[in-house]
Amino acid sequence: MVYIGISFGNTTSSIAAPSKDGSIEVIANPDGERAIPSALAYIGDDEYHGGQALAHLIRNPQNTIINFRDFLGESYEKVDPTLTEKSAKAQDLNGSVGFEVSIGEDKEALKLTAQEITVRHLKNLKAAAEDYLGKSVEGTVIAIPTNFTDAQKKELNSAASEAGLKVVQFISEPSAALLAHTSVDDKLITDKTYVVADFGGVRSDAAVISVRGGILTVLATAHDYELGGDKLDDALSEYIAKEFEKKYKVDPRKTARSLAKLKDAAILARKTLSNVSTATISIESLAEGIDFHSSINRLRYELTARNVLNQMTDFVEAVVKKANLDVLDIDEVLLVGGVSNTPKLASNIEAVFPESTAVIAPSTDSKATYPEELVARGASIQASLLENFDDEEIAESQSPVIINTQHLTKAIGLVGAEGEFITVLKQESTYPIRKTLTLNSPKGDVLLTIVEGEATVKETTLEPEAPEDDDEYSDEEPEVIKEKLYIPGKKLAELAVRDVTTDTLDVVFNITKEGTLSVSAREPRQGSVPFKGEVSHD
Amino acid sequence: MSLPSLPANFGAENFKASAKYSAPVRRPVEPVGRYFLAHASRALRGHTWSEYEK
Ligand SMILES: Nc1ncnc2c1ncn2[C@@H]1O[C@H](COP(=O)(O)OP(=O)(O)OP(=O)(O)O)[C@@H](O)[C@H]1O
Ligand SMILES: [Mg+2]
Repeated sequence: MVYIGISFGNTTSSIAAPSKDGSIEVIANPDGERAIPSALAYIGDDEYHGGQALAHLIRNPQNTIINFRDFLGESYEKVDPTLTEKSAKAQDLNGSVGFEVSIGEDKEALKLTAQEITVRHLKNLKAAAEDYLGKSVEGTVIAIPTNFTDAQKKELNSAASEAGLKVVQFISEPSAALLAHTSVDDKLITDKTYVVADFGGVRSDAAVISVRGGILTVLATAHDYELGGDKLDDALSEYIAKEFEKKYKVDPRKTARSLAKLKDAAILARKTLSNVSTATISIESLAEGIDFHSSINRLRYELTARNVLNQMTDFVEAVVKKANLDVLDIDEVLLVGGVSNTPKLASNIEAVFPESTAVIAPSTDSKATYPEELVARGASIQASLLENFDDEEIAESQSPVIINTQHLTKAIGLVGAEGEFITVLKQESTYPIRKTLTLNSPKGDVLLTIVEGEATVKETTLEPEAPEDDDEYSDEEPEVIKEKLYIPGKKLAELAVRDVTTDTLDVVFNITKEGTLSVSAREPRQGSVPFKGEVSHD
Repeated sequence: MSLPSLPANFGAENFKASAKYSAPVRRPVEPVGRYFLAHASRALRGHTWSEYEK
């Protein structure tokens, strides 16, 4: 039995599966593509898929189908037709969104709904996986946006089964990405609050996710359908067009073909500039038979793309606010999606978060997984976990009684010897939960004060370094570093532990499904007697 | 992190409850990852923590 993970984007798709050594591998199609363009092109009797299909956008746009994923389960009136203005145009096909492509002059045009295109796309992905794995693939976990509707899931589900893939589970894209990121060194066991920001080709999505006891809770989501790599391409295309115009006094924006060439060159340059500081631009016969050769450096590109990049940063800040949190509450920002390879995007985002927040992207963290591969990897991780469960158990595990759980609205912990708050359960911990910790302890009788944590912001002012020359005036502002700290708040209970003979105590906080918190403490030795008590909630 | 000693005037009782913890909120969790699946199977199959930890 082989289950694969699928990331199905409007722009690209990826497939992943466990390799022989158990690690998750992103599978390349026969053309060597790991980020496989979600594109199909029809030329005569032939169907092209992936990058081969995309190559037809310049010569044969009306027979090249792209950007169809979000059309699943929608009616034509509801979708954004500009998404397909440079390719086969979306149209109404009996109430669904579809496309019409020519398959030869004397043949009737082929009409395909978004759902039918998806079947063909998934068949190609399945074939690529089977080709690589040398085994037949039966099931899949497909990652979808957090706001995919039931109608969209239903159409995707039926498309997958027509393609011969049983959908074992749909999981949300940000959770898939986070699973992949945290799978390295089992980071899931550390309670953290994450922002997962996914910058794709046509859209941007973000989610604030808390991880408590290894369990993920989505605290807020945001979506922007007007923000993505395509907007960066527009900005860079316009820059190239202006350069060309200046040099040759010819407007290269007049035909669909030259616009397509501009976009192609812009994508290539953007990708190059993610890795190196200059890119050459080379377009054959851009307009009126004139070739264009030039180069652009990273700084120039970043200026050209500044507005779009700033919007992306604002988008990340906004989702934090939407979750009623402050940037100080965010432990890590995980950047996902192809555009997250852009160094300036990552550094702009770093600038709005405190230094204590880690921003995970290739340019800020050399160990970061490729951002465009995280979603497929996470889907594959989930798929392999589900191999141990039968269909009924998988269905039951997603039922409301299992997934709708209680979350703490305040942190709960203990008061330490210095009067400090010792966090045991963070805010948003979901129960049932059990947490064990070992604390240093004096000998004799010991006090455990169980309290809620109250957040405070601590500001430390770092004075600028004194200028070396006395005459020199320093215009450096003192830097203020903010930190969120917790101090003991509402007292819940006190527990005495008597006649302690060891240097440490093992403390267990346990909240049952019903919400009863029990705290127990005992010496870490065989046969020691636990001291305990219970607290309930409002 | 260390715990303090018990104040001399604490009394004979070992446990004194003084307040309830703040009302929780019910939210869906994401049905993904091994810790969630362990939670789900504990709930569905009635497994206890200690069985799971074996
Ligand atoms: N190395 C790179 N540097 C900069 N941009 C890149 C890089 N690789 C891919 N991209 C851009 O990422 C975008 C595609 O992102 P991704 O593969 O995550 O798409 P997607 O999930 O299909 O997105 P959507 O559904 O929003 O279209 C494209 O705009 C592409 O040009
Ligand atoms: Mg995507």
